Amino acid sequence: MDSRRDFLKKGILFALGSVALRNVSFAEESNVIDFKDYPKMVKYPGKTSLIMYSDRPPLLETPRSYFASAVTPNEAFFVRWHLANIPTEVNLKEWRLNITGNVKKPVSLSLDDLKSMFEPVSYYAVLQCSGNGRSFFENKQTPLGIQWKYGAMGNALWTGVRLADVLNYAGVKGDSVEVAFAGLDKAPYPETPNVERALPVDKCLYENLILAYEMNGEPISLLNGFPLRLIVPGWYATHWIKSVTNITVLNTELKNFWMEKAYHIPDNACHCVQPGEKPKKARMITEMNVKSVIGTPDDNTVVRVGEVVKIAGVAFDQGFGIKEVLISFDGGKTWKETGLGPDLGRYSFREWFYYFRPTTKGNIKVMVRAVNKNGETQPMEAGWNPGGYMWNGIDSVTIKVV
Amino acid sequence: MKKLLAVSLIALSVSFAKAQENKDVYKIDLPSYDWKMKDGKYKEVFEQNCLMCHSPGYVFGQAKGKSGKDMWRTVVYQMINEFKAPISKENAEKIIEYLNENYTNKN
Repeated sequence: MDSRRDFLKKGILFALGSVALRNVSFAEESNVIDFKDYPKMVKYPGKTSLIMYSDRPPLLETPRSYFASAVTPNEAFFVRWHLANIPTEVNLKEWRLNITGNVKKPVSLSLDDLKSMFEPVSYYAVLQCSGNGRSFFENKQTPLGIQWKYGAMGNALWTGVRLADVLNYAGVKGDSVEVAFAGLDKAPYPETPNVERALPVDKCLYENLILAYEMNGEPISLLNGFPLRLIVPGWYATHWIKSVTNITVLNTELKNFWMEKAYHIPDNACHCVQPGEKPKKARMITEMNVKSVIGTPDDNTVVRVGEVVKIAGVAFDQGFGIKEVLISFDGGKTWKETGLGPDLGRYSFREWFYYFRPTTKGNIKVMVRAVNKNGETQPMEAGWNPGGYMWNGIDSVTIKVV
Repeated sequence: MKKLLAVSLIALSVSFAKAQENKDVYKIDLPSYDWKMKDGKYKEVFEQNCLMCHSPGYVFGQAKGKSGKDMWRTVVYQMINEFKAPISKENAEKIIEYLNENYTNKN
């Protein structure tokens, strides 16, 4: 019998075994997930109650109410992994960041080396899954993928070292074209392509990417990519490789499933096609688009006539910075300016707020749209694409005035 | 007395080294859940071929949406072609049948 088939058989036996075991050891009501109460709110170690879409691999979404504040707490920060064998134990005595490939001197650095040999830098940056808001495409057609709502995003203060400093320490050779990043996560089945992604070498050497070891002043949690995470400010999370361990400088383009097929968007101005259609030409997803989310009040909040209600949320874009956030109470006919919170940097969430005093009874639909400093505005509805990426339609909540 | 002191010093340094070692080890125990999949024809084929790599959450989420025609066929063949799932054609058809019967969404 060949080894592949042998492995497969063992894998099936193992899967069956674990299914049977689970029924015995996790019989309590709280561990049961029924279709009708999916997705369920659950607590993972180090996390508060989050919306859980999967436990293998863990997929956890931040509830919308956290987006009333510019900084997302670590315990509420969303979790997304592609492959089920995620790193659950890291020994820093053994862990090394390896930089190899098209370099003058391959290097292997401990976390202490990184902290002591290079200048630390910090900035706020929004981490957002490419598919955040995918479920809102449902009015046209639900794309395949995790049905995220608002919270496959968060904003944190990232602290680490400049990627360029580390690469220059190894000495990037002149004919290099890309830099590839791989983490500790592995697929349960060995032929599944592990996550390895590359970025253009000039982006890595001349822009503001960092290798972060801290998130909001604490070590990055295992669920969010301990001990080191690549920060690509302004770009979608797919590029922010977690638990980065191997960096390979390349003199050819990296070719694999993750680079050639995954996370591709229609290569046209709206990044969109007719629902159900395939794009004629596609390209890798890169920069985020301008977006705002209402964090408070909750949808269908009841307010009395004359009572003041604070409407607040966050807005962000790909790094131009937020110019203004507009609010409408009449279905988008007229728009008013909201107040903006402190500017925490061009890659950060920007808080916005509006104090509203309803004067008549009835349901009021509150709509919000952000404009960035490059003049880009959120569309009324996001353009459909097969991956369900880049959703940035106008957010709304209903306030019930009684 | 001296001997006792030496022994306790060694014990102290051993436990200190252990504490140092532990300080460098970051661990997490992941919870897992009991997913209630609908009983139906070929449920076991689904379980044997799909759950090795991911939880049934992927099925639940997609089934709650409003996806296009032949959604489960697209999904199963994506697993085979892109993620290299070792699923035979015969089993693929059985999995598609189980999912179509039990997790057809609103479309």
